[in-house]
Amino acid sequence: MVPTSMYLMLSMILFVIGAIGVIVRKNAIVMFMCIELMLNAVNISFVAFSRHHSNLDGQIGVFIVMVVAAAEAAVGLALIISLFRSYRDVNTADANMLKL
Amino acid sequence: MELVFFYILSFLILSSALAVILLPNPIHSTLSLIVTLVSVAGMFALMEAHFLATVQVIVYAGAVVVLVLFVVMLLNAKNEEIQRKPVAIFFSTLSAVVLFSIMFPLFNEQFGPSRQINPADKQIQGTATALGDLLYTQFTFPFEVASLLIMAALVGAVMVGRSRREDIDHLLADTEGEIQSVVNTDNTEIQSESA
Repeated sequence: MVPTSMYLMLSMILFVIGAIGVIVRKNAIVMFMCIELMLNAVNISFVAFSRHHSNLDGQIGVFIVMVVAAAEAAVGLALIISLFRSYRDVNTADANMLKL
Repeated sequence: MELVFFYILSFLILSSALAVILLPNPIHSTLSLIVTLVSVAGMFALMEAHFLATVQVIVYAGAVVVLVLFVVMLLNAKNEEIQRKPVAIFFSTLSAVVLFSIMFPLFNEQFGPSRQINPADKQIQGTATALGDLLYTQFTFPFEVASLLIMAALVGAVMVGRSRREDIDHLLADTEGEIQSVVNTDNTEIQSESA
């Protein structure tokens, strides 16, 4: 059986890749995809802990996270389209009207 | 055997996740995201969460990615330079180091009570029956809140994404201007030909 710590290591590396993606990319759609990567990293560790403790509660958590991700996809993509309407681009560096 | 599958799936997940953040073209990023999500579904199946593996393929790889791909193609996104500013590199390193130092105590194998310690516990199976049983008894309230959230998100998405009257007027004015200019050039061409 694969030890839980290996799943946690995989989950951590995936989360860091997602976080770095949000930092280095400027395209709003790719940033959105990196958030999905981070959510998936958390889901992996949820399921790993659920298996580790022989308890299904963690998998219910993954189910709720998936619901939130679907809702986020709908609202986030609507926001990106709205951003594109105002700036004719999805570059987040352009949206700086609230910047001091 | 399980370890072999684990390594194959980890390799697929990490390499395609790196491709998502490194490829300059957003369409290529989206396509590698599909590989990542399907491999994560395989990882769920490896951990005996069969129902979640199915839902992962249907909801993520099926619905969310198709929606993203649709928006990428609709907006005709251009290639993008990856930021190499010192600030970006600094914060990337910082996030990696901080997260690694937080998670480090978890990487030895002797943490928490596990089912290896108590072999009498039978192996759990994340089947639809088992999850549904929990979802409709112990977790009814979170389940209902989640459905309410989906409803609110749908209404919100429609409100945010709908086109406003002035946008349409703006677009119409643009196209009328173009038509007018095309008609003008045609007229001048006809005049020059007749002259």
